[in-house]
Amino acid sequence: MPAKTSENLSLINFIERNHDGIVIVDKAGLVLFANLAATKIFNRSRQELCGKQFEFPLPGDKTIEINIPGESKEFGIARMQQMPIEWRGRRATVLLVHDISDLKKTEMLKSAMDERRRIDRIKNEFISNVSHELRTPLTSVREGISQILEGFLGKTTARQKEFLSMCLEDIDRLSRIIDGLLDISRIESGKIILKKETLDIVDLAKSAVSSLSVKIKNKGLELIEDYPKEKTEIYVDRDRIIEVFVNLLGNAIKFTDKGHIGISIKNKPKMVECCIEDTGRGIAKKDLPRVFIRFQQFGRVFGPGEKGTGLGLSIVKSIIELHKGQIRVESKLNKGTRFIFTLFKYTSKELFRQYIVDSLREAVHNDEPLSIFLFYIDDLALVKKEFESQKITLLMNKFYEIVGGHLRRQADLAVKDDSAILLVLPVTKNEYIESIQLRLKQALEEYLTKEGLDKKIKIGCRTAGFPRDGSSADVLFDKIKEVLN
Amino acid sequence: MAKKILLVDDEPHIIMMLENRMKHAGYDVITAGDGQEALTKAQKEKPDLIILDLMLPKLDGYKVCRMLKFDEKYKHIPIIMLSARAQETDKKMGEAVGADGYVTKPFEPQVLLGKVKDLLG
Repeated sequence: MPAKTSENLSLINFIERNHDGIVIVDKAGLVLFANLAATKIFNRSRQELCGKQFEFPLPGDKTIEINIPGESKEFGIARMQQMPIEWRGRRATVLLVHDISDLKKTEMLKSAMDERRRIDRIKNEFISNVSHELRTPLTSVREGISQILEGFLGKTTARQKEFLSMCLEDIDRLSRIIDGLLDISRIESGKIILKKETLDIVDLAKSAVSSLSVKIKNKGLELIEDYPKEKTEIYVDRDRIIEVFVNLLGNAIKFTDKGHIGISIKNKPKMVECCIEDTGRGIAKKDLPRVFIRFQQFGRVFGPGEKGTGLGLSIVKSIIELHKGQIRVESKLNKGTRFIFTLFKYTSKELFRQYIVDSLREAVHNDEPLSIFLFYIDDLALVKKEFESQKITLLMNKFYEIVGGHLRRQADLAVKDDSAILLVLPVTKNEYIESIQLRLKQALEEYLTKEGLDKKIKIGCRTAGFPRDGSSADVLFDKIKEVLN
Repeated sequence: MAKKILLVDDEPHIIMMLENRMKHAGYDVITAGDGQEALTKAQKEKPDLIILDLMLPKLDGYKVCRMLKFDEKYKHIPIIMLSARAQETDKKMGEAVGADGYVTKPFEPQVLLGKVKDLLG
């Protein structure tokens, strides 16, 4: 052993503390030395390594990848190279071992994600190609029959016209079935990503009602609406929930000849309950379990009007379930039917979490980063003692305005509850998190100073970034949640 | 003088029926069976309106539309996309390349004729 000069000491330090494993083996393959990193990578103590036969293959002149036990890792890969050296006067080999487990894991995750994306794309293309191929011949069939019916190709008898009209109706039905199947397969392949926003569900109900009010009037039915007086906000996909209302109301109108159509919304503590009822022909008890199954239609074969596709209720159920809600049906033959669906009302904490889940899914899907900020009033209990809740609400509104003023992209979003604001910036790179946080916090504090509140109210901030802090919504949410009420 | 419509579709049956429909409605009709022919005829014959399928051989409908709409000489010609592709993204893409209307197949004659009439002023 050379004398421990200071130069040698620092060299030994360097070798010992190197992040890469360094192992020296002699010609017979006995381990002469192993640094700290090597003991970790091979998950062996120094005693277990030194003086024993080296258990792993030697790379020769190549760089090889070996499986390593690692420290409590279920999976480990290291890259290893060797070089000849002289060790204490004898020829020996130094092995450099670089742990690439994390790199490999990321690569594997990425290739699994790429594969899933590829399958999704193929599925989606297939569905849309099938639909295209079915519609094209349907186009000339429909147009041909239309023209004969319109008399372009000579006179037709009343009976011919009647039959051709029936053909036309059924072509349109077939076309609606194709649309429905396309819809269902997209829902089922998870191809539909809900575009959820916080909305007043009453607005959605009213918008569905207004698109059908003419039909209701034309059938001479009464419309009974019953909505809560207060705003009933809920986190849903606007178009999809309107589709649910339209579908259920459409059914109610179709199967009701006299009486009324009712639509009501109840704002309950943890959920919103929507009910669409009619005084129509009803569904027999034995048929009730099958209403949501596709292509199950009951007692409507000779009914007047547009025929259904047998897919509507199945789509409705899928949409409600995509929203983690529930739907059920009650009916009495010849008395009427009632569809009731419930949608979960999130607490602000759950809502914040849900926003992170949804934005993260989108970010992973698009292979983009995600930056998340939570600004909150520090020591809220104390602040609440000092200020009226109305004052705090006003302050939060102002804060929301300030934070909202910093949104740049369409996908950027800010949501607030009574004491915190969540800001989610997709695409924004994680390295900008600190500077954005600083800038926004400053803006909020400037406002407090201006109002003379800076001594009494302090702003806190938490941040999380994908991929900086992790790739699961729980990990990201954990970084900010403890300050939420 | 009757207005001239260029019909573009690679399905002969659809061309035949559409031609009949448009002639009945009082229009002059010329036709093309692929994207390249559509472009040539649009440039040579200067139709008053084009009804354009999307999935075409040689040059797809989006490209035909974009090339015409980006050309000062032809961008005034209204183009109605008539396609069996019915997804929202398809319609958006139609808008993006400058189409003046989007009708899905199978189409209702009144809807298509209404659009034609609107665009011809």
